[in-house]
Amino acid sequence: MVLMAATFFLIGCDDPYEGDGDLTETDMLTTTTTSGSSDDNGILTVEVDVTDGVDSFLITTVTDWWIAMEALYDPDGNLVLWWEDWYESEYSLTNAFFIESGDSELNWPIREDDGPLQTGTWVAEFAITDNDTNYVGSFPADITVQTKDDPNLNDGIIRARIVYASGVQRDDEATAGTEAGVERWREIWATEGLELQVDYASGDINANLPWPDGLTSDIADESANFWDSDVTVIIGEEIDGSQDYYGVSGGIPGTLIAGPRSAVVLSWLANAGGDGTFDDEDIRLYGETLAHEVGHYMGLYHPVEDGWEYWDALGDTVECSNTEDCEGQLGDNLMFPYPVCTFTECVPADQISADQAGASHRYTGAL
Amino acid sequence: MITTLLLMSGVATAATPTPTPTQQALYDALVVRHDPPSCDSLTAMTPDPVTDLAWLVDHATAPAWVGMRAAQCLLTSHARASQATFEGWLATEGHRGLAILFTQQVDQLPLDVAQALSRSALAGPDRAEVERRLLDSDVPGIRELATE
Repeated sequence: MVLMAATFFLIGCDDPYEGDGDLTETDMLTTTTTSGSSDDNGILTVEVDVTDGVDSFLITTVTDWWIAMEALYDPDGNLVLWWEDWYESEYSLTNAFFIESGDSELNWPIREDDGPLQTGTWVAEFAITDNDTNYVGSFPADITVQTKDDPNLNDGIIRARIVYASGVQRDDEATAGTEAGVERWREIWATEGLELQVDYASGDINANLPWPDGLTSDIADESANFWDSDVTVIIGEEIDGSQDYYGVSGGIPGTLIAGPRSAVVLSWLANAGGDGTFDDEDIRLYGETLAHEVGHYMGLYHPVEDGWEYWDALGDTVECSNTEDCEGQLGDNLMFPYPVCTFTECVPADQISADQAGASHRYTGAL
Repeated sequence: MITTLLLMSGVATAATPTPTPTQQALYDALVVRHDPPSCDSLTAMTPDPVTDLAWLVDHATAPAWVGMRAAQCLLTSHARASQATFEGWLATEGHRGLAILFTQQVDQLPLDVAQALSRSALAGPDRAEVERRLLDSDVPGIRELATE
């Protein structure tokens, strides 16, 4: 895994993919990849040097065991984040705290109050554990730190590589529907100063897409073909052998480098429905789904989870506590957990709160 | 927002048959973006899963994944009971998505049901696509139908 990840990094630098050329490289993002290992207590320490002008950083750690973040310290040594404050909280800030895979990602800052970044050396601690959540000492990990030097956090560009899984690129309905959906996605994000740049590609990955849980290298292989500033979005025909899943994000947040979960995966078919075609309503919803799932990838949670007992940690998404209130106050929010629909129409879910927009702009991949 | 919802409800009521409370509950369960209920859970919600899930396939067009999830549940857990319904869909225009779904699930179906549905699909409007996909089946008795 360690060697594989290093190889992905090298490949990612020269962008061998021949897409339609809409994307350009950027000098706002700095990527540094190193390796390290956990100490005797199973803690992997990651240092992030923040210089003048750096607005945010994204840490990606990859091991052959399980890994999750425990703590973040600012340059003065103050504890800024501690996993136990969030692990069982009813508020969600980042999935970096949760043992989900052999990789863990932290983007910082997330909320306006979390920044601006103090210059100096930030220190993040990640726990490497075995299958029984016992800490594993002296275990290797790949560490990638990306920093963003963005002169304007109110305007950002997201570079998305839309990859059609094997065979999907030959399906005119799938590609036309996806491209129309992308235009809807572009409209939604433009309202909050997020410009979407898109490049389309054809991939070798099977159209029955894997769940992005890090158990196969297929997603890493696909996203390794692209730059380290791009979000990879893979369009398949089903996910994990099922139409239950119309789209899944490889993390909250997701990484920008090639890795076990480095993509958002979507089933075009689940978004087209039983007729296998995209009408206007399907396209609108597909576009909202693309924006919703990549919103997760950029670190956004649902403002409230279905069940109305858990909320995001943002300040301006109301803490509703029942169906009527939540649908009434948040049903048109892009990140609401479900579209509010009758059987044939859904309320447009295209509203983004100021704090959601701010968190999106602070994602290190929003350049 | 509330006004919009009320207006939409009025439009939808005029345009589509009224769901039963059970069909409404199934729809509400399937509309979620993530972590949909299992087919077993859906089945437990209704005394007549085939009728109610098929109703959703026919009438719940938004969001698209509701009908697809309902159809998948029919195929994976009620294949024999829903065979006639599926045969009707596969034989008529406007069900390409269901035809593709069928080919994705065909190897998991009881062989006699899979063969009957394959014959319907191969005689239907999406024949060429179904044929190509059935040739990839791991089940010889399915592949043979695609080459006849």
